[in-house]
Amino acid sequence: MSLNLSIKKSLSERFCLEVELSTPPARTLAVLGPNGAGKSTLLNALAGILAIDEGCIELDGRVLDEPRSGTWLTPDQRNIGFVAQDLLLFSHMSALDNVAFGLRCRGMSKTQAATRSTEWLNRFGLEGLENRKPRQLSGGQAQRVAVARALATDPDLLLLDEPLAALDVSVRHQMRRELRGWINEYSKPTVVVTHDPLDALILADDIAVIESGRLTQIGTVTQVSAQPRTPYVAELFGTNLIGGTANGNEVAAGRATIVSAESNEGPVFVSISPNALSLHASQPTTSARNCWSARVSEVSMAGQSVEVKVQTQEGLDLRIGITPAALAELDLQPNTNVWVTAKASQVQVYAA
Amino acid sequence: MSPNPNPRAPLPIKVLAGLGVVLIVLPLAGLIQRAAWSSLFEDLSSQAALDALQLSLLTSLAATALALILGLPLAWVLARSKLRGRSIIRALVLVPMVLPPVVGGVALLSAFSLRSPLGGWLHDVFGLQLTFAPAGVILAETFVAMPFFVLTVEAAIRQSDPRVEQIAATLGASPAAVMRRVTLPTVAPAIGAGAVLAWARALGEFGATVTFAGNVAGRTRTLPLAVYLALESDPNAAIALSLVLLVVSFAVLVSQRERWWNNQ
Repeated sequence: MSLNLSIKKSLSERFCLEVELSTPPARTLAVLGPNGAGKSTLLNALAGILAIDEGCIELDGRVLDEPRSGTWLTPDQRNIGFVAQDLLLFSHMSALDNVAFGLRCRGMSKTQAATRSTEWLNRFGLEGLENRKPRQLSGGQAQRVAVARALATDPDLLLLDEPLAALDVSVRHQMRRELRGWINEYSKPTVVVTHDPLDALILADDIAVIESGRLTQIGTVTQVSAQPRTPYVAELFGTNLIGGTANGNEVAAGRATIVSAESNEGPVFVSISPNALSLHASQPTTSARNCWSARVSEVSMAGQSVEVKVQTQEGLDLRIGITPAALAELDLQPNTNVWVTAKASQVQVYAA
Repeated sequence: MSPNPNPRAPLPIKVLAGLGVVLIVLPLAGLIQRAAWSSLFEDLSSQAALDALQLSLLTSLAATALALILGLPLAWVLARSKLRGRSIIRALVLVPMVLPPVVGGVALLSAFSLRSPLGGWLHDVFGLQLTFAPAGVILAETFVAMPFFVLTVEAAIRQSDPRVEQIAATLGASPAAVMRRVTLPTVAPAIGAGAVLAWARALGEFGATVTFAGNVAGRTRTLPLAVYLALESDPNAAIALSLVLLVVSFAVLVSQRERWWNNQ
């Protein structure tokens, strides 16, 4: 089972989604992107809610949508499981009937569908809630019903649209872990659309980044998170991304020079984790190969740590993670002059 | 929590609001007070009353059924289709709600009387005469009552999320199955409410009926017409029949209490 797609879909004169990608079987692809990037359009095209303008969507050798050959399968012919952001459970049906809906549509008898659906509910830890209506379920329970409903028909492709966005933060972590377990047991391709990098890191094997309707980066979770190729991805995974030209151990980025441990040639990206950078009030005596004079532009809290944004004299914009204690000690204000150091071994350089 | 849960109304507002309640309650109280309770059963079981009651029930239920059969697809089209001129269709369909019923009756007369081309054709080809016939009563009542049904159901369909139907489709439901198992059950409460509203409006129909179908005992003399006629000859009977209609109206209100009473 694999998914191959090459699609072009205009939604307006100003917005057009043009994406080409494929996922191997049993792998989960996270589609990340800012709001309005075209993530939902992609999911709707896969589900058959939207028809594409050009290209082809192929699932396990079966063509779902190909305008050139006039092939178009309606949603009910595709055998796809779809979990929407706001779940969209059938409010007039019990939890059991929600899960049984797809099985009944496939002609399964009422008793058989009920038996199977009960098994699904039990598997998802929903014993005894068979007869509850969706409004009588907690957010986490409703989420489980929605996933069970999508998986009960044994779909060839599972689509998850912001699957955790509707949940309280308190249950989101637990649900993310459970969701990972269910996806692992499901042996066919899964596409999960999200704007939360943590969802991508925990749920997915691969990440595809879509920005303004274009695929800007694709790779394994490790590759994309460690080696971002666009400012958006760098921001998402909280790292510093600098473009430059490598010549041996040195990368020229504008007026700045960055020293790395490995040697490279030609156009490259440099990625430095905020935690790999150190801040000093005065010029340090250090073995670090990179040492820049800089000016603080912004100080903000990011979770439990402090993020300091600085601009070096050479014009590099860097974000640096420090502890609140360090912040107090350094007495940082906007426009404070500081020194920033980074060890060459902490500087990642990869071909652009 | 609203910041001021119990605002004190200024006196003039209280007085005017009270007068508004009195204006509506006083006539109803008068009706109950004037009722000749001892002869109530007798008044209601006269042949004329029973005929009117039976005709009213029959025609109003038939009109409700007609409003449902035609109004449900109409409501769906108005709520969901991307038809051009949809708003014009909606405006036209809702005209009977604001049109004086007598004008509706005159309009029906111009379209369906024996002297009109359509009415003449219906009579010549099918032997169907609408004026002075129960069928005419049903048509007049449907004309007046259907907009209430369409408006109620259209609002409900519009409010229901079309993405729920899309989810049903991804689960393997054909368009017909989506309609039957998802769309209709979702708006079922509104269909019920719309039908009750339409039925109440049809039951009380007077102007269009008397203008279009006439006032023929046993054929087109519905309850409201019988009340109006009896007022001259037998006031007690008129009041008894009015009480029946009042009770029905209250029953409609009670059946819709979820909709109209729980507005908190």
